[in-house]
Amino acid sequence: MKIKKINLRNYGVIIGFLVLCAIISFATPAFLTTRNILNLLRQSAVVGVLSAGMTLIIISGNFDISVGYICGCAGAIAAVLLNKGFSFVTMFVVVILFGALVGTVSGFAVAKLAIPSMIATLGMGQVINGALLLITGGYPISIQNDAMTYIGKESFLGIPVPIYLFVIAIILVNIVLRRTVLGRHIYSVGGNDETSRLSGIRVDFVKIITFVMSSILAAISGIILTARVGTATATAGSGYELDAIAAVVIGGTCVSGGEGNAWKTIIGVLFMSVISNSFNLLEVHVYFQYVLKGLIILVAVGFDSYNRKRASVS
Amino acid sequence: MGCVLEMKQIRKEFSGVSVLNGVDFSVNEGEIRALLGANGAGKSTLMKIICGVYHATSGEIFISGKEEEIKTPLQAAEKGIAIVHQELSMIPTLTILQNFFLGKEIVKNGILQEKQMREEYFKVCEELDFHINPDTKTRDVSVARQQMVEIMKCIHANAKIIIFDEPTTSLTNDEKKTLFEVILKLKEQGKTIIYISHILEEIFLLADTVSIMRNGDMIGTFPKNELTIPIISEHMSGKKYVEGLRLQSYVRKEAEPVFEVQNLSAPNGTKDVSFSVKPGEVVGIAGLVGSGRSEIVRSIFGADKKTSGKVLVDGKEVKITNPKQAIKAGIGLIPEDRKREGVILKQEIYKNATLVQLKKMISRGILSARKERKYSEDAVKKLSIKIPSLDTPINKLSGGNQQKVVVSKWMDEDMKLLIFDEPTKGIDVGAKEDIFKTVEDFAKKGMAIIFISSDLSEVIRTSDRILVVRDGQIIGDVANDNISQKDLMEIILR
Repeated sequence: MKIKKINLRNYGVIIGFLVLCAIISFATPAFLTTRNILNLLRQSAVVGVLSAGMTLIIISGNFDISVGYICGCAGAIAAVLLNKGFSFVTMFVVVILFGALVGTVSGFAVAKLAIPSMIATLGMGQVINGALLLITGGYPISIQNDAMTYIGKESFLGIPVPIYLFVIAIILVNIVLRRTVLGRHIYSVGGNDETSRLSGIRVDFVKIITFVMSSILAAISGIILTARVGTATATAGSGYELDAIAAVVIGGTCVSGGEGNAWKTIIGVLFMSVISNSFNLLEVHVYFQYVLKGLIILVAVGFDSYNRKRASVS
Repeated sequence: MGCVLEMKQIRKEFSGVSVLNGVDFSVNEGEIRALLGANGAGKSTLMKIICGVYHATSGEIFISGKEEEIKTPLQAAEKGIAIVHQELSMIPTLTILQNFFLGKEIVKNGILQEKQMREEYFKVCEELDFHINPDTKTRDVSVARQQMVEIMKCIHANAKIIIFDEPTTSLTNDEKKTLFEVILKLKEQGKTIIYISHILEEIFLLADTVSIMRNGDMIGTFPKNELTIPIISEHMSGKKYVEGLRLQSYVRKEAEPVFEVQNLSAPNGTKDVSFSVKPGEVVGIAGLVGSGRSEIVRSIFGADKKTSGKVLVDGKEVKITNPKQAIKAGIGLIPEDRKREGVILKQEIYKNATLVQLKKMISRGILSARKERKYSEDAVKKLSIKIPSLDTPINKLSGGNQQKVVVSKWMDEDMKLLIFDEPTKGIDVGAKEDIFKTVEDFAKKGMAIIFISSDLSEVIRTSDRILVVRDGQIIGDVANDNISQKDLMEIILR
């Protein structure tokens, strides 16, 4: 007997997202306007690129809570280099190298020293936070650069440039995950690292490389952030790691690793952006926004986890 | 002696698929009842219904003649039903005493009553004549002793019916003997035992009566003395029993060894091990549990560290410090612990099957779905793996079929040596035969095989030569010309 039941787990997030959008469009006419939607998408790009990397990390069975700081610090490095007269390309290469270096150190700490990833990246995050404060001296650094203005403020074919970067990041991550040996190894290591090791997979290498990829994406998101705001600040990027983790998990990637999908992360990112955007439109007090946002994450993830738990028990 | 447990017309369906088709099952007080059946026959499901883990779709349960509803494990415990699990359920970081009272701590005004708990603990120790320091950390205690503590817990909970689910899988022979003595003692005390095992010798030793299940049906309950191995096998499989034959030997006697290990020592206890395997030869490794069989092959494969020694493949020395290098040299391992080391439970069947072969599944730089499907379909056919579809997560398969998927990882023409470490652990008779057939097929192609099993009859059936291991050392190298289990056991124990 063949039973095709619609699996709520696969569609729950999308349905929830649509319902949320519907409610908000009723609550405020300002939501469903082209201007607001484009603005919302532009804002979502930074966390979007971060989340693409976070998807890799979480599937491999780890967490990275330093990405918010990497984003901020990379943005500051970008600003300083451009202000010193270096070209955009030089700046871009340096920022990528910075991301790669940070990722290698975190990955090494997790894979070779066996520090739990939460703790390793907690430490790494503080190191980078300190670096960020040293670079900026605590003051905002504003920039004047054509390439940055283009990235941050312009549109291509009517769509803001950062959105393309977000989509490209997701597509790349998706290709890596779905179509390459490395991607399969990431799923396998996240699913069971001992089986992976005995199957000839270089488990440590896979762990390190996911940190490197994620940190590079975080560094790129820092460039986008600085470009969008026009300024690098000492608090830029802080808290984004939580938005990214929430987006990935709301997207349905399993926190215990080994399962998940980059496409669904897009929904998670949009979900988070729509929530922030609608709070602003509805003029919810910013402190109260934190409370609501936290609760919404708990409900969304709780719904998903509970379904999973029920499915595995009976 | 009254009927202590009676189950009538128990049905259980999982999402529309029937796994128990109206099973009747009753046990008398003070009886040791063995429950037999192939994987997927429904034994575990039936036991889980008794223990309140699953809920029957329909049917009635009577305990001591009274109809009862068992909805949760707690209710089952209250009605005097306890289970000693196959995989132990103790928390390794707590002490024996803490585990003993886990969830049932004696508390007065919110304060743990340490002294009273100790007294009760020692009382149970006395009753079973089994003594273990209550303050030892559980992880420092052998599996066998942990199991005893589990049994003590059942007694302490005043269980009338104690279910043993394959209790001997990780015990040494001495430990098994102790366990059997305890079970017989429990019987004397009037407890009812339900004993699940694949190992027929144990059942003949212990059981009064034997219930046999097949495909969700109860075939029947028989007094032990009416049963023989062929009869049991017939009931279990529904097929006529054929005496397990020696596999066809394909050893190429005149050929040079394809694999050789010289003076291998390792921190895991492997001591100065040397042997070689010819193409097509099946070398069995026999020894007691804990004798270091697995450790030797794990060191060869690079899963465990080596301190000294050489590995030669095709006469050339190869450096193996990790499994990746071993695989590159043409050595494969089907590990002992299927769930932890063999499969990735969350992943689809085809992804598990191709895990080692991914490099060969690439076309134009990306993974080719077509190649992966082809590889897995071929493997499924060759190993007669029963699957709903290639995209089913592997945890939905029975143990035997999971194990075949693990074997399918190594269906590669370039493999020189394949190591089977306890490949038949916890799998049913049919799947075992399929595994043996695969060993034969590999040997026929000229691959060298190392075959480890705790079941001596399996080693004898499969091997051309048998290495006997004790304390990480090879103490015997016997050609297998119709050696009997008894003779082999004598060498092992000598």
